[in-house]
Parts: sequence; structure tokens; C-alpha cells
Amino acid sequence: MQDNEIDLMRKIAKGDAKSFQELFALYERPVFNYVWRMTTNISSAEDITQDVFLKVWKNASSWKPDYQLKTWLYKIAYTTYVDKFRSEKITTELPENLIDNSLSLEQECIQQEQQKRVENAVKTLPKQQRHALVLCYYQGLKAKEIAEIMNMKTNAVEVMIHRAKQTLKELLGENHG
Amino acid sequence: MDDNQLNSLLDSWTVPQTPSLSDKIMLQILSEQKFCFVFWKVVTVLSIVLFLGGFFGFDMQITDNNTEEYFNSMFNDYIVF
Repeated sequence: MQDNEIDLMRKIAKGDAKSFQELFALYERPVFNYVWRMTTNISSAEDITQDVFLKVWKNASSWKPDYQLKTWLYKIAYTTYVDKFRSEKITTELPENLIDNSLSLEQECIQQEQQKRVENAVKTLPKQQRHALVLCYYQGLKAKEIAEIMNMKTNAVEVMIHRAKQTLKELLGENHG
Repeated sequence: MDDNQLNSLLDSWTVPQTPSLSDKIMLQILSEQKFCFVFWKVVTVLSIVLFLGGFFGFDMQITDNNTEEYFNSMFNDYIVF
């Protein structure tokens, strides 16, 4: 646990908006990326990200330094997503603005096609496996951290990640050649 | 498919770049802070006014009957309000 994070959270708990802004700058993108990979909808991802950080602001005093800040943030993001998904229908859409404009038309088509394949394959995974895979592969969390976030045992998370990867290999390998 | 091939495919699934939500969220937080600040200021001022009104209305030794009636009517006005 970094001392500056502890210091930051103490200040936020006292209502220091500037410190909150610092924290937001550090974690906005990772949280948004995680939520976007679950929703694949920019608008929903932005709403959830905003809700997450408002919860952080209001509940900063409840965070304890012996609990990893990163894990705490992702836990809030996970529960916020789950709650929102339960109460509303989050529309998932095809990826937006993913094309690299420096590519030729043919390369753009290939890139778009590949991203669509990967996204569709990930969407077929059961929700829990998807959370585990995204948190592990894209957000760089360890199985133990993911287990804390999802309130599961570490072994169960490791099994889920393994199964998710196996499923993706089968799905993506079919068309891979 | 091996792990490297899978990783390569997973890496190709990129997140779109979007403008930062910083302004939006800071506006919300600062609005709430401002609201709380104004709210408690108003409550404090009202409390002082009511306290003083009550004090002058009931506790003060008033020798002048007109003054007593004046403050009592002022206090009663607060109650009505």
C-alpha cells in the first residue's frame, strides 16, 4: 500500500475535493475500461463510472488502509455494475470508435472484424467468468484480489479464468485457421 | 490455439477513447458541497434568530409594557411564519 494513497484517502474522507480529483485522475481510466468491457456501451460505462466515484467520495471514510485501494475501487465498480444490470436493462452495443484512422480501409475492416469476434466471444461467457477474465487479463488483478472483489474463493476464481480462456480458445480458434 | 495467440487476440479488443468525466463529476461534488454549506448557514442563522426571538420574548425582564407587547408580537409572528 502506497503512503500517498493512504494520505489521499484520508484527505478525501475529510472532504478535500482536490485530493479526490487526484484519485479520479489515477483510476478513472482503469475503472471505465473494466466497466466498458462488461457493458460494451459507452453511455452505460460512463454512468456506472460516475456512480462508482460518487460512492468513493461519499464512503471514503469507510475505507481502511489495510484494504488495497485498487481492490476496493474495483469492488465498488463490480457491485455497481451488478446492481445496475439487475435493475435496468443495460444495452450492449457493437464497439464504437474503435477504428484506428491511420489504417487503410482494408486494414480497418480486418481490425474491426477481429475486435467484433473477440467481443462476441467474450460476451458468450457466463457473467462471472467474464468479470474474472476482464479483471485478470485486462485490469491485471491477481486471483486473490478478484476473489475479494467477487466474494468468492481464490481457487474458484482461478478455475473460472481457466475455463474462460479455454472457451475463448475454442470459439476464436474455430475461425482462426 | 496457444496462449500467445489468445493473448494477441484479446489485446486487439481495445477500449474507445472518450473524454474525461472529471468536469462532470467535480461539478456534481462541488454542487453538493455548496448546497450543504448554504443549507447549514441558513439553519445556523435561523436558529440564532429564533433563539434571540425567544429570549427577548420570554426571558428578558421588560419594564416597558409597550416594548414587551412589541417583542411578543414579533415572536408570535415567527411562530405563525
